[in-house]
Amino acid sequence: MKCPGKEMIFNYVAGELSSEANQILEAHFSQCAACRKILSETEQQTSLVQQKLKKFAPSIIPERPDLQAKINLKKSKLKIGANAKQESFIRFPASRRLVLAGVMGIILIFCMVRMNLRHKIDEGAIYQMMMQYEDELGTDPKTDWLEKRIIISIIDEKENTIEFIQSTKENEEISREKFKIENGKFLN
Amino acid sequence: MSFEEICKNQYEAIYRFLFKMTGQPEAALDLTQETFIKFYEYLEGNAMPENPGAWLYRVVSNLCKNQLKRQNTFHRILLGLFPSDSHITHIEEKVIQDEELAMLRSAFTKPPVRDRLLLQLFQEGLSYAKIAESLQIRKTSVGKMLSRAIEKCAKNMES
Repeated sequence: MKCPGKEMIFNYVAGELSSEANQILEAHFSQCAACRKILSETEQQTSLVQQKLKKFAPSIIPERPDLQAKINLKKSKLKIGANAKQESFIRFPASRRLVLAGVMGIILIFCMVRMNLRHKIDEGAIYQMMMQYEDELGTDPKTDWLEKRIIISIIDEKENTIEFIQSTKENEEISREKFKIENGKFLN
Repeated sequence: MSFEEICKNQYEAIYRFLFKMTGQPEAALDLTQETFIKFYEYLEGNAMPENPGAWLYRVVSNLCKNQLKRQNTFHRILLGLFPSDSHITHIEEKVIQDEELAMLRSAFTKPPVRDRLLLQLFQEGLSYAKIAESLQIRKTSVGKMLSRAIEKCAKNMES
């Protein structure tokens, strides 16, 4: 008989061969020293590993928990989870979510446009326009401010106009002029 | 055989197996419960498997693979954070006070998870057919894989 491989010898040690195969192998082992050596090594290694692995066994085995209670708890949690998901889906289906997202998007764009408009006429520009207006009026800031003052008001952002109201310090109106604003400057 | 009877018969064996694989009593207990919960869920929609033991070991093997992957990842992160060995106690070693056992376990963590599962299933006394079913491999491959795993493991343990 041809020498069996390591795998076959291991299968013999593991007791996985038929009784017929066992007999054939045993007959071979009695005649073949090399195979007997492999058999001995395999038996030693298998025994060593099995003995060592036995040491990993726990010293205490905890009491069997109430599995049925745990299963019921898990099932109830799953049920609650599924119901909540279903309810939220009914209340807030995908179509509604899409509409809401659209509306929010429009509001956002509107706000951004409005903010952009507001920032078109910033404080710096207003100050510049005030200086421009004072220059045109020919007021002397050193003396005139004691007797009169200029009130500036932006009348309408939609129309993009600015109105200058010149008044005395007793709030008596001297003049009122309205201008169109373009590129941060008012036009005469 | 009913679910309750199988739980009663297999609980200790499954826990022992998981403890040997993970080295952590809490993880072993959690995974044991998870295994039986999965079994219960399976029975809700299916008939009792022909071999409930092998079915359970298949679930256990898969749970083990995931758990050991998580443990290894955690261990690697710890090693990355604290490269000096003096700061680290291996997760599995925390529960093992015996030094020799710690060394043995260290040797046992070297082979791939599949080899470790093979060795433990063989140690549990499962036949090749049941091992093949549990690990979803061919029955004809079990002998070859097992003999190699034992040879490597024995060398690791001796050195």
